Amino acid sequence: MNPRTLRPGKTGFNPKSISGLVAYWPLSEAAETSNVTALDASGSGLNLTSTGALSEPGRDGYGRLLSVAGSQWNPSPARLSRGTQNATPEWNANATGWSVAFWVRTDLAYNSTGTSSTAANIVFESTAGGNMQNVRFSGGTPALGFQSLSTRCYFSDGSFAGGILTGPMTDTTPQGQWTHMAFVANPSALSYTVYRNGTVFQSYSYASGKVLADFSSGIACTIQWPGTIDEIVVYNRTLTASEVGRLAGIPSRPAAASTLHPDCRSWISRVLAAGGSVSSTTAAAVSQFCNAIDAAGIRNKFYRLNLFCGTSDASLNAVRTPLYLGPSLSGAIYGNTTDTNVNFVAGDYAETGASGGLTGNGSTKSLQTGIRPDQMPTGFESNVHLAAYRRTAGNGQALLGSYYFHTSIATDKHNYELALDGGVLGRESGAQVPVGSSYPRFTLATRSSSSSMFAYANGTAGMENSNALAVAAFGIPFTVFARNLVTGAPPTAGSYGATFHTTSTLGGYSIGASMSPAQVSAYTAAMQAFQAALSRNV
Amino acid sequence: MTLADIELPISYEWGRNHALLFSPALATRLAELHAEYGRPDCIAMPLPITDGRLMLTADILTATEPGGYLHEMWQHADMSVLLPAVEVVPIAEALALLPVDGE
Repeated sequence: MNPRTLRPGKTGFNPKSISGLVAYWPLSEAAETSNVTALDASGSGLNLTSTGALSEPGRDGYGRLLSVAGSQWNPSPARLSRGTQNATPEWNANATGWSVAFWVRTDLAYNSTGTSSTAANIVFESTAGGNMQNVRFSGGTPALGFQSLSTRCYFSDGSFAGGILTGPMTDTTPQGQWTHMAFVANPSALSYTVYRNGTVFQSYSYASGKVLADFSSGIACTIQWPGTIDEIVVYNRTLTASEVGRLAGIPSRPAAASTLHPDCRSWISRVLAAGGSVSSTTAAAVSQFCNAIDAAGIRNKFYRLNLFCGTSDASLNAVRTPLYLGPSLSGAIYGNTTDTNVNFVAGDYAETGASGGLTGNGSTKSLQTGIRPDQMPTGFESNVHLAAYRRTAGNGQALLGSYYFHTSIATDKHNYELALDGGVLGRESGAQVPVGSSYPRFTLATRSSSSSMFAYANGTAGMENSNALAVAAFGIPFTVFARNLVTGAPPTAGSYGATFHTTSTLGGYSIGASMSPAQVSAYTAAMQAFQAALSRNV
Repeated sequence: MTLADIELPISYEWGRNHALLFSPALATRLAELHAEYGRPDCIAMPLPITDGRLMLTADILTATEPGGYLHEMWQHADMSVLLPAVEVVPIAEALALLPVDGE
C-alpha cells in the first residue's frame, strides 16, 4: 500500500509545534482491506503495522483506526503494533512525565455479544523491570480510558492487578460523536489529569513510583470494541492545559466563525503557526476591535499593533504575535512577524482580569519589534503616532522607544518614545498628557507636522508641543517595555541596548501614522472596549 | 547562596524577588547552548552589572521547566558546573549593582 502524505492533525494544528513529541500517528493512510503501515509522523520512526482490515473513515473522512464497521462486532481484532518490543525504552516517563492524547468515537452500545473482559481497546504497553505496565483505553480490567458499556473511565498502572487510582469516574461522552481525550501524568506532582475536549475532566493523585515507565512496544488494540480512534500523539513530558487545548482543536474553534474580521483571522492563523492558541472569547473581542478600527477609517494608521492577548503558554506565543503588521492586511509588513521575547516568562502574563496584560520588571524584560523609524513610509518623522495601554503606573520609565543620542550635538536627540507622562517624537522633549491623568491609561502621542505634537490620556489631549522636529528618522528598532538606545555617532543601526525599562503592565501598543483628535477618540474607544471584553479594567 | 542550594523548580513569585548573578564566561556558554537548542524569538539576555558579572531575574528559571523556551538548553547544560557558578541574591541587591541608565 502507499500511505498518503501525512498531514497536520484534523484540527489543523500540527502536534510537532509542541515540544516533547515522541510519537504521532495521524492514521491518514488510505483505506485498505489488508494490513496497513501506520506511519509515525513525529520523526521517531515508531511505525506500526495493522493486523486486520481497517476501513472505517476517521475524523477527516479517510484516516481511521481500530474500529468495527456496521452493526456487528469486528470478528477479527484490529491491532496496530510495532511487531517486536523495543529493548530500549523510548524514554523514562517516571522522570519526565508523559502525555497521551487521541480522538475517539464510540459507535455502538456495548451489547451481549461481548463481555466486560473483552472490551479492552487500545494499549500503550511496555515492559519495565519485568512488570507489564500499560495504559489501557477502555476495558473490563482497570484501565485508562472509557468504555461504551457503562460510559465510565478507568485508571490503572496496567498491572491488571488493580488500579492505582480511585475510580471509575463518570463519563458522559455521547455515542457517535468525536471526542478528544488526553491523559497527562505529572511525576513531580504525582498526579494524573484527564482532559476531555481540551478541558480538565478529572484529576487524580497516585503513589510514588506508579507511573508509566516507558513506551517500548508502541500501541495495540487487541480486542474488539465498537468505536474508532484516530490521531494519536504521545509526548515525553507533562503537557500544560493550554497545550492540551491546542491538541483538542480549541484554537480552531474561532476559525469556525466565518464572521470574524479578516485581520482577526490572519492573526489567529499566525498565533497558531507560532505555537499559541486563542479562545473564542478573545477571537470575538479582537474581531470586534478590528471592526471598530475599520468603522473609524483608521486601519491604515497602524504599522504595527499588538493587543497582548491570547491564551498563555510557556513561550508567550500568542502574546508576542501582533494583530497588525502593516497599514493593511495584504500590504507591506514592518518589523518582525512576532515580537521577540527578551526574558519574559509565562508568569508575567495574564490574559484577563485585574492583572491582565504583560508586566515588565524594570530591569531586564523587553520585547523587540524589529520595526525601525527609517524603514517607515516616507515622512514618518512628521506623521507618526506611538501608543500603549498602560494598565499600571509602574516606575514611569519607557513603554516603548527608539532613541539615538548624538553625543557631539547635545540637543540632537533623535528620540521616539512613550514614557513618563507623555511622548517624544523626533526630538529631545515631547508632549505631555493632561496633568493628573489616572490609570489605567491609554497613552497616545502623535505628531502631525514638523511643529505639532500632542499627547493623549484616555482620549483627552494635553497641551500642544510645537517644538520643531530635530532630524530625520534613524535605524534603531523600537523595543517595548524599554527603549533601544544608541549613544554616539553616526546614527546607524549599530549596537543598541534596551534601557529605561518599565515595570508597568501593558495591555497593548501600536506604532503608526499620525491621528486627528477624532481618530484618537475612536481608537481609544476601540482599545478600551477591547480591554473591557477581556475583563481588564479601563 | 548559589543555584546549587536552591530547590528547583522555583515559584514565579520567588523568582521575581531574586536575581541570578554569573560570569561572562558562563553567559557565553549558555548563549552557545541556546543557539543550539533554543529558539531565536525567545531569548534570555542577561544585563551587565557594575562588578563585571551579568544578571537575570530568577523568574527566568520558570522558562527552564518542561515546555518552557529554555528547557532544551537547560537539559543540555552541565549542572555540576552551572548550578554552583550562579549566585542567587535578593533582587534589591542585584538592582543596586546595575549601572545607571544613560541617555
